[in-house]
Amino acid sequence: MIYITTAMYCEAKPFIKYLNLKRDNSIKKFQVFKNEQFVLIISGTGVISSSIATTYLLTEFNSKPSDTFINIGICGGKNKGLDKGEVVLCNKIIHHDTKRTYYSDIIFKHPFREGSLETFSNVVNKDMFSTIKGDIVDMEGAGTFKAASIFLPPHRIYCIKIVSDFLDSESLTKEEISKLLENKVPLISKWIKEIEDAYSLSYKIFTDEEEKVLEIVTKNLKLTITMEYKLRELAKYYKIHSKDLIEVIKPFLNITSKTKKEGKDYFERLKKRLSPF
Amino acid sequence: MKDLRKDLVLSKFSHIYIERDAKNHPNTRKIISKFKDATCIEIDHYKEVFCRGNQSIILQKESPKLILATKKDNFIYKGSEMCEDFGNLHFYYTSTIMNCFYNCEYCYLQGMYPSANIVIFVNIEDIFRKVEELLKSHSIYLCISYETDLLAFEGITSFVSKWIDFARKNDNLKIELRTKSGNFKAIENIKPLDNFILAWTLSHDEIIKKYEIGTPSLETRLKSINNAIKKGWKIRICFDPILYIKDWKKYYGNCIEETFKSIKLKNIYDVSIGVFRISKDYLKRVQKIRPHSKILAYPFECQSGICSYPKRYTKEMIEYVYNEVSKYIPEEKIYV
Repeated sequence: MIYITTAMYCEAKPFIKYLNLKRDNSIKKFQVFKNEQFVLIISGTGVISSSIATTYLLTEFNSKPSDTFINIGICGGKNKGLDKGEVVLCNKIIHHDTKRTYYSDIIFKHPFREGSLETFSNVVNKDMFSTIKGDIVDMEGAGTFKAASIFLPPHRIYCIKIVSDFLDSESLTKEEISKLLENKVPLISKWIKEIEDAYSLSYKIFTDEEEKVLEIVTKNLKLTITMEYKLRELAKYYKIHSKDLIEVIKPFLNITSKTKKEGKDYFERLKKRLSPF
Repeated sequence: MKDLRKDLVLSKFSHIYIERDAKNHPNTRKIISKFKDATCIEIDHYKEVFCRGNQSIILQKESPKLILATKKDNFIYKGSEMCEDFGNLHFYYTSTIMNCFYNCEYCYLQGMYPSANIVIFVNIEDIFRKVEELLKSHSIYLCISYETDLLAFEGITSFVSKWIDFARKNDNLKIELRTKSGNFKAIENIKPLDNFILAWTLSHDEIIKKYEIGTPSLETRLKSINNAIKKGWKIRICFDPILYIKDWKKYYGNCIEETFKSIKLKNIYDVSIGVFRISKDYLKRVQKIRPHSKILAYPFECQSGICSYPKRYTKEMIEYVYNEVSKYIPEEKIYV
């Protein structure tokens, strides 16, 4: 699953349209839009609002470590080398108030410019120029990153910002913001989908059938917790060496031990069958 | 790992994180100059990046980043009981680099560090100063390449050359440099030293291919050893860790035979033999990182916090390898 937060509806609108997301009307606290692969939440402006919405989103939808999270929105550019409308993938995120820093693990190739983002609690203007350490500034990035870090690994958390102004208090209308993002949505969406599909680590060892068989044997032989741990350890080793686990355990499936000693004897026989080489 | 599309992954060291304190160190400038296309990011402390929670070591191994830092404490450590001291009384080790760009499946560093990114402590001179202080009280046996492969990084750091220079000035310091690298050429023009041991870890090519990803072949390592012998260096051969895998006898027997038939024996300082062993805590973490690993899924036995193969297998493996090695090397030169 890919999770997206934006601060304002006008930032979300181009994604909602492009990805054909539908409003989830069962959620009343936030505006949430989704399809089978994406869930987008509109957080509201500011560090606290964005961290609350991120936490809500990743909790409500039972996020897994294999999911991807992206905070998308407009930003102000400090660096004159940036162009209006340029997409920046943030490789460092500074929380201006606390001076805490956060880093995405940038493992995958991307078509964006990289830069550092500094998140402020208030609107930043040119008078504050000398206090700015980041290449770009916003009001949400650090909040979303810190919240998402609780749920996901750093290579699944990204802040992608689109430069909308250069701290010159240029006020953009909602329509202008949507327009600014609209051109970039296909590029950003394509990249997100690519990296989401690119890696999926499987940590599951046993099939559902194998799990069931192990459960039956554990119950029937009245195995202790320690014996059960040992059984699973040996079964994993057996399975990893591409052997048929069900076949080797099958003879024990219909055995029920009446006493602890009987269970122990059967367990020793099972251990021998599963032992390496 | 499934479906990792290699063409999507950035090159090794695409990003270099640099501590503010390390920024102006000459070694930093030298290292950065070798990665002209890298994105440099300034950080306050290496742990901000290196110690983040939930990092994926498996993915980071595909595209490791460099972190340049200054070491502020723990310049030198007492040698671990799990490591052979080769009869040396004052056994220490030190880490000028943390992590390695090889990807050995059994490597304990995956359990020890929260990240696969590579930290280079640029202020090596501070480590030299600490060693000099210790040398005032007694002689030292120092291992400098336990938590990395220093020779593999020589093209980037020149730290091995610096350690050789340092050892040349300090007779009562004996250094061991452990490596799987084939990069002897990086130091081939340096005059050999009596108090500097080049120690190569060797494995059968099947084991290298399956479990020591990214490391040089046995042939390449042996070529390096032969070149080092020709130049007059003291050589240690390490069959460690020996892995309990199917047909282990065949693999280790062949590897030992190939090794001692292709290198000149006269400069072999000694041979070290050890089976795979790892601390219980590290093993738990490594097993979690590599749940499908054939060698790490073994039902190890743990005693006093150290996990290894059952005693009868350990004994059998050590005896077999010892006997094979002793066909070529005098027994007093073989350490178990």
